[in-house]
Amino acid sequence: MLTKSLYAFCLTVFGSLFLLIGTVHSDVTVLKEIAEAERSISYVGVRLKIFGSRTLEEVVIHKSLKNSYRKVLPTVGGESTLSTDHEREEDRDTNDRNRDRRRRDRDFRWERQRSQFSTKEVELIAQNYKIERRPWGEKIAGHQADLLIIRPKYPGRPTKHIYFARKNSVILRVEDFDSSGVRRNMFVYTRIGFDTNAVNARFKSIQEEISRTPGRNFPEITLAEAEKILTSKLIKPQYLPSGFQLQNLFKHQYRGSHPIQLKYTDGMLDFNLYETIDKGQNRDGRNRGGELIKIGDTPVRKYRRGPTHAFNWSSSGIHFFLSSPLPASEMEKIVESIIVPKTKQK
Amino acid sequence: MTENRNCDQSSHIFYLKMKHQSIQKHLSAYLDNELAPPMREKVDSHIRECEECQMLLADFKENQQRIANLVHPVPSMKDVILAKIQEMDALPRGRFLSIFKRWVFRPFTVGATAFSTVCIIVAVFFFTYSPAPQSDGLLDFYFGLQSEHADHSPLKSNVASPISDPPTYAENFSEDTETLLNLYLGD
Repeated sequence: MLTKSLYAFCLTVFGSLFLLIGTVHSDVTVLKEIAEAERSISYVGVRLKIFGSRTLEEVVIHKSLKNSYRKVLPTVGGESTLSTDHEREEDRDTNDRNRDRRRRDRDFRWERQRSQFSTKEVELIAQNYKIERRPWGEKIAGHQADLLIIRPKYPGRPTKHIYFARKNSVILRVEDFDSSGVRRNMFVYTRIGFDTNAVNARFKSIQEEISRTPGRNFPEITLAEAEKILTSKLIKPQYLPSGFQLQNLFKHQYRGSHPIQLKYTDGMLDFNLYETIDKGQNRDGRNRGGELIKIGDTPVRKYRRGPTHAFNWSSSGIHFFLSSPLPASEMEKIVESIIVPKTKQK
Repeated sequence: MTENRNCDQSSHIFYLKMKHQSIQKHLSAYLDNELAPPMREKVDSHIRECEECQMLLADFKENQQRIANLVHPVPSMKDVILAKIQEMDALPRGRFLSIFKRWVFRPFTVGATAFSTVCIIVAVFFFTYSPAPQSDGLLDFYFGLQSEHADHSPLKSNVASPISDPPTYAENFSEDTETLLNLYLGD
């Protein structure tokens, strides 16, 4: 009797374990399949994008990860509305108007998408978020879709809902929720086609337009190269929010200076630390807005633009800029770990 | 006999004529005191006898005097400037202005002024320009990159903080959102 009960218990435990492993494994596999689909499947489509209260329509041509372009479609009547709004325009100076015109021009041209879908990022998401696949069955742009929910394991992180085509795992709809569960951003394809010949033909037809698109290049660099540019040791934060790790170093160019970008990620959320040789960027008179706080003895400027928090300061001859949608309290800890390292605190 | 005498006389005249011509060639050098003593003595003795050469020498001397009178002394720079100042002081205002205008519109003056201006602009730019990025632009640049990274990958998110979080400083929030969205779309 005891033996039978023991066998029954063991079978239940093993069965549950297998089920659990199977479920977790399959959901991570789904995420990997979605990433793989981005690499291998071509598509062309039109999607509706919503950021907060702003809505726009984009056309996307995705031939491969390297050849993926998007363009915002002008809204009917949008241009004329902007140009006839005399009262608003008159209040602005010429520079503002020119800047707006440039931005509008930029809006309606092809832009390369630099999505990575790296294996490392997928692994980090699997590590730091709970992944759950839910059969959905509804159609998006004529394709039956399923849902993948990515929930955070740590507080203060976002949630993501990815709706993907059941037949080939291509993403059809994405919804981003902030840490309080409010949906903030989303996009959904209203039309999408996977015919390779059609994609190739469409891609060929826009190639001339694409070639005129100015490309921005952020080369990835090594630690040694970064230190050579900074002419000093690269300073890394001693405090990292749970699950975050350094992913890449990039070199940027901005008006004669070369900021080094340290990109930290938990897979879904990034924080970026930029370091450049201090040439007086942090002089108070030249900073726009921001709240001045003190961390240690160092004055730090704190900003918020939409969902992004940022901190700006100079110390040890280096100018720092930290930006992320992480909660400001978390970011302050990162700043503190750079300004007052633990070795100094002790 | 008479024929012989006539012949001697004519040969003497020829000799004198030749000597006279030769002496005349040296008269200028004689006058400038450039002849060697033996030659100078010869010229001296000839002039004493020859009336024509005396007259020629007198002409040369007169010319020399005239030429000497033609040479006038070169004034010093100081004298020239002082004279010019005195002259300008003495001039009526309108005339002074026209001279000034002529000076201003000289190609050299215009060229020199343009060159000096360019030098000053270059010097000012060189001493005041710093390759350090302007903070405002740099902020836009960094914020743009942050948005861009999140926007390019459907697996990324940029909305961790709840929207109910108060902005950390008193700035028009909607304007900021607009800026970020422009960066989202633009950069």
